[in-house]
Amino acid sequence: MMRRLLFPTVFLAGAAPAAAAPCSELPNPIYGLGGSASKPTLARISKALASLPAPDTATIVFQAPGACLGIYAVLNNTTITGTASYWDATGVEKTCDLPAAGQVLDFANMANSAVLCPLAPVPLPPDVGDYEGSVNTINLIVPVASSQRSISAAAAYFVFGFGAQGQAAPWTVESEIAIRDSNSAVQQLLGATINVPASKFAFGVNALSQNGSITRVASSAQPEAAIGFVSGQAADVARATVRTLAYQHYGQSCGYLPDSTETSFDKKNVREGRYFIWSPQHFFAKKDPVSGEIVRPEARKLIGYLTGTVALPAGFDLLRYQIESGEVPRCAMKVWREGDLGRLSRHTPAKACHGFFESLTGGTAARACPNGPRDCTASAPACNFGYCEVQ
Amino acid sequence: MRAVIITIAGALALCAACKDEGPRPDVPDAARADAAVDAPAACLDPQGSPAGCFRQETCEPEADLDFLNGCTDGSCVAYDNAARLPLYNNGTLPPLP
Repeated sequence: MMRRLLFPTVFLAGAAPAAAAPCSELPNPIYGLGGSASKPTLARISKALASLPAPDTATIVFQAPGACLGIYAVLNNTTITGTASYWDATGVEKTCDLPAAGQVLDFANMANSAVLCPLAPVPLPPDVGDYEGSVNTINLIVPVASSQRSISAAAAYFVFGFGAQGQAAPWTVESEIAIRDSNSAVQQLLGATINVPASKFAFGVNALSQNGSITRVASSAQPEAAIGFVSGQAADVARATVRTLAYQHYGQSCGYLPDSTETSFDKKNVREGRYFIWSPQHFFAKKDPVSGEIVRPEARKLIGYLTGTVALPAGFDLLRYQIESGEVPRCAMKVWREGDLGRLSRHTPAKACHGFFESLTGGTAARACPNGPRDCTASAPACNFGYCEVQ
Repeated sequence: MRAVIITIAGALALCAACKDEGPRPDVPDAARADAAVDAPAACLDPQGSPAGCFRQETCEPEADLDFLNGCTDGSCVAYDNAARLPLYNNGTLPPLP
């Protein structure tokens, strides 16, 4: 049943006094709302879009009040007000002012599907599309000064579901346990993983954002007791101050990092199915219920780039931007799952990009094909993105 | 403004409780969901890494644990639930408070 809430002024709570330039004056603004987990990728894509010549140049304008709030706004036609982030052609994050009367959204974005957001109907109504992007992980983090190297699902169940009473030493000091709120994608996905509903992370301190979690964990005065969770993108750029723990799922015999080592970025254990906590990004937009076409032109173009239904402009190397921002494109995955944390299955991409992915992340060297397929062998005859692949 | 925010927060909290929050972990780890205990013995490698890992090269992985416990030449860090968690109870975890 649709539990529709009409709260067109919800984001006024975050509105700041007008001080920046109007967002509407930016080149082809594309307005989005959602969680902070995807901001590094949106920033990288927006930087590239801002560098394109007309008519392809565009600017992603984004507010990140919380993952589920994005899909709620699309469902309810909620406009956004106040200030929003955007990125210029040098990649610098800036802010602009939204119209006081409210700006209609082009898209919503979050790291989980709408199923985990309690106010979203299942299934989504026929005028709302759900489009998958590339994969991101959820990482459990401790300070680099901590001696801890791994955590199990059961241990996380006790830490986040029971606090000190869980006796999961050394994570028994509730002031050192960083959590988020139930609208956060990282809390939704971790909760679904360890069987602690996102609304029941009652023991810990709400760090409010990805950066808040990083800062709180990294600066803890009791590093052995400190723990939190963030997106893989956030954890990767903060490796100087926080360490990702190897995660051992229920029934799993050993714990694995997302990457093959603490210093690599190859996402080998995600791509091969040994690291459990990952999900593709989800983009949501209004669509025509009959034709299926996304209604708003700018959303149609951006989501079309991401899903491959719109040709990429010359010089717009989307795959590279996704990989460099810490995500794994579906074409680099060897396993896949349907739905949030759904059952794993082997995945053979129609046009694989394993070699290109590994060339950018320091993984196993793949055979390059600068001259096309004639550089490849019979065992990997396809030349995709500059590297030989099986298909 | 404050009234609007409080009203919205209240509505969100109330409706959050409407949704099914899923099963609680009241079954042992080893018996959970699609544990690899169903895998044929020939698919498990007692000498592999980690010990007892699932041989994905020769057997088709079907369950999550076939992937999660797949043999690898990479490293892992085991977490000993029984030794480290006083409330573990052989995997029969207590319900959330």
